[in-house]
Amino acid sequence: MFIEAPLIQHIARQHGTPFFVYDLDMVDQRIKTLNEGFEGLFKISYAMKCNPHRVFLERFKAQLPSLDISSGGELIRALDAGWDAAKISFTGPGKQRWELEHAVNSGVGKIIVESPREIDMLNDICADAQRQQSILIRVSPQHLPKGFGVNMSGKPNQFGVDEEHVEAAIDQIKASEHLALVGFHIYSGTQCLTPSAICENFANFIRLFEQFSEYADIEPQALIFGSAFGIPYHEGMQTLDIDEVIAGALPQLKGLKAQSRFKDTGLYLELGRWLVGEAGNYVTSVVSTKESRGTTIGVCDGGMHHHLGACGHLGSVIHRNYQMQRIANTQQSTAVENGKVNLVGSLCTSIDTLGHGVAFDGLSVGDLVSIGCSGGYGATSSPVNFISHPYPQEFAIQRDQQGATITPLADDYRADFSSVQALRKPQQEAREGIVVLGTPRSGTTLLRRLLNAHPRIACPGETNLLSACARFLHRETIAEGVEVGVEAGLKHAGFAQAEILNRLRDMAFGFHRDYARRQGKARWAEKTAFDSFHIDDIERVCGEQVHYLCMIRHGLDFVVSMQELCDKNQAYLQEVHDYIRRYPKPLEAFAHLWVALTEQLLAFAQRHPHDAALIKYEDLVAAPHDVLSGALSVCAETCPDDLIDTALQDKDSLGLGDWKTYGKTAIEAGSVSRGDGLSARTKGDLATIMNPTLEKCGYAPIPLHQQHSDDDAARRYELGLLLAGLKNKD
Amino acid sequence: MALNEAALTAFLQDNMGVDPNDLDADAALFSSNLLDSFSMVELIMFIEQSADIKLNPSDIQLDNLDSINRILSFVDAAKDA
Repeated sequence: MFIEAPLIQHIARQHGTPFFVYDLDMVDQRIKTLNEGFEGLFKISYAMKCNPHRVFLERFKAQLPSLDISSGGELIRALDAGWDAAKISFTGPGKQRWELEHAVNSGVGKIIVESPREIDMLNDICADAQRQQSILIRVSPQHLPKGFGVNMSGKPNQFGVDEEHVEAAIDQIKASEHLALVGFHIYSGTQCLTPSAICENFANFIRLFEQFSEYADIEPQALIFGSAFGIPYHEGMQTLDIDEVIAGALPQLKGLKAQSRFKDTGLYLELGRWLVGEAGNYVTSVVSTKESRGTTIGVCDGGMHHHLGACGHLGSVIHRNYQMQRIANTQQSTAVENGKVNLVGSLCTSIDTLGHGVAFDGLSVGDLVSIGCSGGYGATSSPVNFISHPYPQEFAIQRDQQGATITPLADDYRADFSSVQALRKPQQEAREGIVVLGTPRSGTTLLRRLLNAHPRIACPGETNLLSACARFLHRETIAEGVEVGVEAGLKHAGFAQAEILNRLRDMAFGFHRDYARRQGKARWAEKTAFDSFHIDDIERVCGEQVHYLCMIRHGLDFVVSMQELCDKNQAYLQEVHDYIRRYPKPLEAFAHLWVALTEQLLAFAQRHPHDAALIKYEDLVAAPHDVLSGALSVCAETCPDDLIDTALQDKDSLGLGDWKTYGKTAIEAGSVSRGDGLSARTKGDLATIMNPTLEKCGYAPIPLHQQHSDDDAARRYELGLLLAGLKNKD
Repeated sequence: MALNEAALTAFLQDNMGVDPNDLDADAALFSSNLLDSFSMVELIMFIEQSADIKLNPSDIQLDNLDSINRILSFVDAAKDA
């Protein structure tokens, strides 16, 4: 309990105070006691959260078959100390994705899942890593016997899967391709000093282990028993009678192993504080005394910043004094009148109190105070940076025939996270698709060829799937404001809007998923030129499940290009009918159409700052790789160096809608500014329609043409006829 | 406004989108398809307004209009007349 005074005094003289000191012989003795007492039936698993000092990690690596960790940082430290990952179990209620990824990649032997979310996440990670992972379910029992200092059962708590829901978790794991359920784990209460309560608790564990192993129909490889073995922190407490615990528990373990289902099962005893807690002392010096209104106060150089638990702040409701011993400064000794002192630390806060009314018969500056049960939950559980005092020193003691050896220990307890930096970056939410939205004739086909050449992206030729979804959702409002459409109709039939959209999405995305799978690509992209006429409904269907690439092009090029297209088709496309009706001059109709579509695209990109990229066609042809890299980074993808070349060489995967790009094997800037071929007068007319939007997109405005007189118009007509004559003469 | 080579070149560049590299003073504008007939209308309107002359139907032929030099000599002759 208390390390011998001469050793303490020796360290204090040599190195100063405050410090922690660990009696490694006592730790060895405890391991021996457990191994012999339980006849090897329990494999000891050290919960490193208790004291993660490298000295323990390294010693236990040779002495113990298992190590329990509770964070990615503990995993890093355990591996750094040389632990074999296969011997590590990973518990904890809030495991983050990067921690699980690191655990899976490192080959951690047992991951203890504590929630349905963790099961799904882990299966997902193992699918990516193409690994099979052994897991245990942490069960949170409904029942805990009386006598435990800390209770983690029955009531609502964050630990593990509640007993009532374990069967559902087993079903979930059985349906998870990459997970193998190999056992169960229970740690339901802790700090228990009553052997009968510990044994009663184990009986309950065994009942649950039997019940769930039978339900899961497994012969478990591992069952982990949270020990709950307590230590006598406070005045008046007695050390746990370990022999009584062993006497009560051993027959239960033998009974369990006698069952054929459990004959090969590894039974693990998970514990921390009972192994190292009592073996450690925290030693501080009295640096000042004060008689204050009838009370003797000793101010010490150590305190709460090293030992939060001793100050009553580590889960205690009422501060009870730790067992402590005064090693008097023999030079001077001052008696304490009523035999009670308050011991405080040197932090400027009244909560830095190591003991209230501690029974010391004297107190002087220079006295050493040794606090027992300080081997676990000491420095690493305390606010060591508070008020910038030095970290505590640490020492180990080991004895042999020659006497005691004192070894200074060095460990800053930090984990080196540099190797997991990439895993820890916030993950972009996975989105399955990429939707290209662009004005027709804006180079979306070029973009399609580029995307389709990407090793992870499959982008078929125009499928019209999303515009078809939009047309499916088309609704009209009739008199009295009644909406007529599929959503209104199905709403009356009891279908929620979200369900309609979900079904529609599944239908459309399903084709793309299948297509991408057939191409051996991870993601799909959709490009249909006329999708841009249905931006709002496409956004409703696709929502946050895709990334968007919005493509714009100079209005004059659009106008010329549309005219070419309509000439070629010998008809106006359905989508432009409204505009042709309103604006009988086709070029002006196309100009108005361009303004409407471009404004929508600009607004869309502004609404989606994180999941949509705005691409100007002119920029793409000027610097294809840079522009594409930027756009792909919004889609959480990178741009391979040879993507542009690969894309242009691939002539096999051209699809419908690609008539312009057939035969092109280079990106030509020559198809930019084709609108310059329009007459100044025409351009002037279009300028008034398009200039505000052009400027918003960052294009130079078109010069306005001066107004023409009627005489000019007549002369133009006349010249036109003359020129026609001239042409015919050729 | 005087009509000279610089003014013509500027007009063709700014309004017709003709590449200045193609704009040699003797380059064929019309017969080489550098300009279409719509552009030619605009070009003649520009010539008439700049030089303050009016072209007769018989003047509208390639000999007078197919290059910057031809236009300039035609305009000189027309003004002297």
